[in-house]
Amino acid sequence: MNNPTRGPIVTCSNLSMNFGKNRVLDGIDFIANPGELHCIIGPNGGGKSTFIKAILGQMHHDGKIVLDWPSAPGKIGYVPQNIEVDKTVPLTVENFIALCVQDQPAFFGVSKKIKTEIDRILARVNMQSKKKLLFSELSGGERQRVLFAQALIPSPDLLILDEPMNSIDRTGAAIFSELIGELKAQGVTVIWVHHDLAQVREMADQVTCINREIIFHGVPSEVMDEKHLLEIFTAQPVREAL
Amino acid sequence: MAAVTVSPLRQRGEILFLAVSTAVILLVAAGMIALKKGKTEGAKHLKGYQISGISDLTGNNQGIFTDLYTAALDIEYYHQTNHPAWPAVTQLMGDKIAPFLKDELWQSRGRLDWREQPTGTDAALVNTKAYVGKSTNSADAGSFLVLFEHYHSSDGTYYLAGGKERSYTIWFKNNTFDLPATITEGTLVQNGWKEVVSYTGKDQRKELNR
Repeated sequence: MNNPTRGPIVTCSNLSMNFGKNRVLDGIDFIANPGELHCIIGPNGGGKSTFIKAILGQMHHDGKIVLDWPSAPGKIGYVPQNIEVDKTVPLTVENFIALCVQDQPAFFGVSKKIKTEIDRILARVNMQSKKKLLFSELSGGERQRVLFAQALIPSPDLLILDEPMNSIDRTGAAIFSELIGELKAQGVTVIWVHHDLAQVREMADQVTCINREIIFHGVPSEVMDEKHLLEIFTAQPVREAL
Repeated sequence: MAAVTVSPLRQRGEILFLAVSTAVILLVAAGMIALKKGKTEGAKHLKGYQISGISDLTGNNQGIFTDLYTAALDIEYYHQTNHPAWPAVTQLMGDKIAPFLKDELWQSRGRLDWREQPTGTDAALVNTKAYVGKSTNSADAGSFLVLFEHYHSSDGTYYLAGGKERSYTIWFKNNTFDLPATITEGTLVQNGWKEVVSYTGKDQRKELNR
């Protein structure tokens, strides 16, 4: 039976960050709950990815970030925007996922247990037939599917996605949505940096718009109105997106 | 509930580790240099009849020595492949091999007059050969002599005299030119010739490991 609250409550209080003299994030207060898909939107260069990296503990920040787990700290899955692998590196899809998820050194090979897991998860993202292909030879969308797959081993309690849909096709997007829906139903906390406003409006439980500071946050149907979006996405066709 | 505060990433630890590692590497390197310092002067292990090819020769003489050292390899190779023949001086000049070639450099380096020289008749050293270059302008350079000594066994195998690493030695004499009638290492020493010793990397390592 699934635990409806297996993910943590992610709370950021007065989170700020500087790159040299540039203020990248300023006084961010944020909360994401278990079983909730919380989308982060905002213009390019607004600090969305930086915010995500701060939650992952990969940046120096001021303020407080707390992960309040229902019991012992669980697993965190992370899907980056993209990853570059040199074309000369003979790394197959299977090897790549194994490198991401297993503790033993890569030259010992892929353990049987991990192999089974990889097969299962690659089947879920419809990439099983490509597990022996070189990672560097995959298309952008296929890479995103593999990056998504690696974040699901082991099954995460907190899933963080940083614009994984940039180069993904319609089928891939549907797979992502389905899997995220499943995780959400299992009580996983999902934080997703997303640029597709229509999909955010359709899928997200909560949305936070960041442009160095919080511009707005709340339930998408309530806060994602034309006025709000025009403030931040003046160059985008907002009406079409909505 | 288990609340975990995400710590900001700090690089203080990495910087400290890097600084300490660098300091340790520098200290170890400095210590090794200090320990080996006294052993780097290979010339101090020279015997009385030897001089250093690096510190005891003038620029011109160093140039001739280096050319002769290289030419000796060619001469040795020629002899090995054309045994028992040795290349004549005229042949070496024709092949444009320095320091035998009479070019502008030769003009400025003492205009050495090269000739083949009969060697000693030691029965054990069945294959010896000497080329001697007499300086005609001692203000620019001294005289040089290269002496080859090696054995050929009955089956044609080529090997060196006991304890030697090279089949040839290079000798130098400044100002005067006293060539012994019979050329051996002993007679050259008696006539005031000095063996020029070059320290290659291999030689240097050997010196350091003494």
